Amino acid sequence: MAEKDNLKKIGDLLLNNAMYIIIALAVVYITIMRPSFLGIPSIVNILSLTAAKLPIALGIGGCIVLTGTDISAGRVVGLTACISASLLTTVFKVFPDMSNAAPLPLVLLLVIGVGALVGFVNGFSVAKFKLHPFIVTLSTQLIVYGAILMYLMRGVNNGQTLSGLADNYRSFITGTLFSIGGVAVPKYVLYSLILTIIMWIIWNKTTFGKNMFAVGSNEEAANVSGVNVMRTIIMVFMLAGMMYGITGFLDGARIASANANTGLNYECDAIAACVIGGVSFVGGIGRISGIVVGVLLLQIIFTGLNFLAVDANMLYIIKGLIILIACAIDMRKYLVRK
Amino acid sequence: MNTIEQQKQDQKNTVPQRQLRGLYSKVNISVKSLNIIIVVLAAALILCMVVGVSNAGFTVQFDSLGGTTVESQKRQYGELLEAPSPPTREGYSFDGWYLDINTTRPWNLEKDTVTESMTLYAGWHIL
Amino acid sequence: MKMQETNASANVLLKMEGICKEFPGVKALDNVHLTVKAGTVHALMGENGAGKSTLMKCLFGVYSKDSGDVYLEGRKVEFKNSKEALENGVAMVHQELNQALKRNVMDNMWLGRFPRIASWCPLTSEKKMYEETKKLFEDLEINVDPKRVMSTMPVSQRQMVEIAKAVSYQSKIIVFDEPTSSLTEEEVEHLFRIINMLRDRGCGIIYISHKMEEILRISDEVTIMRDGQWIATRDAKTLTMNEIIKLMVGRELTNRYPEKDNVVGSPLLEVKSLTAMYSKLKDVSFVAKKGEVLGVAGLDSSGRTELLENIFGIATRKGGEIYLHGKRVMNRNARESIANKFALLTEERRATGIFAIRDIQANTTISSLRKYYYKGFPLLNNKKLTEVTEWGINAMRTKTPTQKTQIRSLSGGNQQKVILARWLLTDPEVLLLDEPTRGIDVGAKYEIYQLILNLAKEGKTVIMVSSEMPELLGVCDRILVMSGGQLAGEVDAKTATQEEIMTLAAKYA
Repeated sequence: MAEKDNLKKIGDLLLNNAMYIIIALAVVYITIMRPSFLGIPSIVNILSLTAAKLPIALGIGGCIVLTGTDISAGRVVGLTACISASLLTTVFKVFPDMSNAAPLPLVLLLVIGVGALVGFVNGFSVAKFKLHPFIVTLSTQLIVYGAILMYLMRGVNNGQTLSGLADNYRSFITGTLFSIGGVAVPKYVLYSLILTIIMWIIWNKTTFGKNMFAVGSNEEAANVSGVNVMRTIIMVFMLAGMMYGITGFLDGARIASANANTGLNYECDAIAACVIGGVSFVGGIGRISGIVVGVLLLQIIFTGLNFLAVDANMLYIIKGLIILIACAIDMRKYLVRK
Repeated sequence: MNTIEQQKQDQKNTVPQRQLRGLYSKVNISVKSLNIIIVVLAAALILCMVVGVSNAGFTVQFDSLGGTTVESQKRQYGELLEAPSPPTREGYSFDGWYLDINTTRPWNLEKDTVTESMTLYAGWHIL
Repeated sequence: MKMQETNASANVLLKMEGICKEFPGVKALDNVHLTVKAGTVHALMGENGAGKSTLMKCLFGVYSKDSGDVYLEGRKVEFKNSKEALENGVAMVHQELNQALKRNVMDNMWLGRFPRIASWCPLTSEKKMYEETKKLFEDLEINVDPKRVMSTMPVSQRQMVEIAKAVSYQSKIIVFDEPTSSLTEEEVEHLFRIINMLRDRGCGIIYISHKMEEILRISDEVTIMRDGQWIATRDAKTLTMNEIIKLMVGRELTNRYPEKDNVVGSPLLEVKSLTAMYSKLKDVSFVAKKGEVLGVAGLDSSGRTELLENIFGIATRKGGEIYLHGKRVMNRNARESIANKFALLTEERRATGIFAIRDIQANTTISSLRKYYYKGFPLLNNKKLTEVTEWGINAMRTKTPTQKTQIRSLSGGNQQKVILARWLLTDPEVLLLDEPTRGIDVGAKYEIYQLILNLAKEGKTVIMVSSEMPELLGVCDRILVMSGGQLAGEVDAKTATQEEIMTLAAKYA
């Protein structure tokens, strides 16, 4: 009897942690095959890529806590990256009349505003018309994509990739924060860290954060308890939008160019990271630390597979499977007999 | 008669009530089948990784943009490219390989290492 | 002697022995046993959280038991799910009905085992289904057309269908879980006739209920549980209501209601011709005084709940005014009402009360979060949150392992206490309580009554809706009687009788 119980417990443990086990095994294999995977350059690379993808996941995490999702994220990142790249540049193709790059803080505020606006549209439609977030954000995704394409056709740009970014913009984001063993850690790692702390405070220490979890776990009860459900939903989506805006701002300089495909499928990575990190689609459950771990794990596995020179096409299939498994495990956790 | 709906409903009647909400509110599945799904998916994931690793290598293609054809190369992560014999094109002189079609970001054959599958574009000067 | 033993065991239909079940931190069942004989009604009693439902869930395989054995007619069984149990002749009529509402009666009856036209033909035979259903209904004196769509029927009739379904499986053991909670007197009589009929056929009935009058009327044997333990199994004829309560609560309950010592003061809340936009609530006016417990009686759908919802502003008003301390308050939504010192404990605890997956702390503090900021700094102070939650747990005497326990793992009574604590933290003057004791056991009910009276003593006004008239008569000072969305009258709780209230309740119905 006890043995059977133990077996069951071990089985539970294995299944609930299947994702972590697979990733751990993969990392071990990769390290054996390519010892340089654990070298400082590679670790710094993983950390900075994690930092680059973290803000968007932090934004989407809130939407998932509300039992929703946001698939417009990637395109908003694309739009804001294009806006940043077109204004903070040395070759003004989109705005031929401009001669000097716009001031950094102004552009940052502008892209945050653009993100917040899209988020507001998402949140308002979800809260007011009770539409499913999936449908709403699917439409805004398309609308934003159209906006990107039109934006890139402006001026004399003719839809081409925006590059030739202003030096102060690039150095502000990709400049060296500090160096470990001769490898530079870029500044945006710090920005990402700051955003994470801010989001942690918002989720755990503010009325808004507590209300968000309440709405996610029981909207009706939240309404009766005096929570402004509509405002909470709108704010969650707006906050997410702002995060996408900031991501776009960082990404433009990080990639050193921006085009219509910038940000494509970012939301998939972010949603996968959130689910791996324990932000449940059941609603009302999730932690910032979980999201950070999720993004990090995902980055480790994909950097590792890249080290093994696995084909990018195969990576998409692997990514899809990871999301499915993460969902199944998430579901299992809330299904298991008590 | 909609038998699928009936069966689902039947399951609802007999399978104990679950407390799934949110995106899963319509999900109706037993832990056992879920276990099988997780195991199968995990196996598929591992299989994909194995297949991916055994076919490893990034393909680097060379687009000579109207010049003579250059053969593509397969490289592992962090390897240098083997310098291909320069393509030729009537009326133009070849000035190296570039990462983008607009020939703004040059590729240094002695220093740059391959980290992904990609296409390099030839740069041409009008003679 | 030996002969007798075998005889006795042949008579035993179901035997559960030494059942143990442990949840993290709680021993939900501790060596419980239950023996159901053929041709008897066996009542299972206990407070909420005593382990009755857990025991049944272990029987039906919803939960896997940690140890213990189940014997069905002397054969050891272990069901994996309720379908398997059903196939073996163990059926349950659930408290909450799970039916395909869009389908008709016979579809629901034969779900999952539709009779075929012929054994080789996979087409279902509507005719066979109709005839067999009809026959069964006649047998059980159920007057329902088998072709009627479920959603058009009242809950009571749907429940009858559920019972008929259990019978149609030739079940030997049928478990009734609170079957009368949504039935009228007359329907209860009908249910009892069916139960008696089943008993005479030799079925073993397990009957779970909180209503003691029913238990004493219908059952042959009573098993009482407390805190996950088996307390006693007695012959129902030898038991009295007080004895049952004593066994259930584990202490003597001399009074079912605490002593009333609240002092009614000056008028506090005045409602003038309140009319609702989307329900039939019409032209309701009344005055509630400081320190008063004002009851609201009436039949189901008489507008009791709507009255509270309209006062609290979560339903849309068409007309009417609300005055607090003589000043008009708007109460356009829950936030405004909370700011105006109103509080509403809703009827549907699961749907609109608790945040099931959140912990006690989150559930307690959600309505008053702004009070727990750091000084002059709009961030939440964990220490303050912990302190007020601790206060809530102690003041309500909530039974919970820690503050971080998910509220869904508590019993109904304890969940209700957490929600009450949530509202008390908003410092209300007017408490609107909608069925505050629904689905709560006797002991916890007493505590809730005590809490209500204490609040009144502190000078708060409590408006309490209840469908249990003895409760209203025992706790309230005055009782408003609603009928068909209108105020039918007002009675003094000290002098009124149940008949008086019933007459008023039928006035506009």
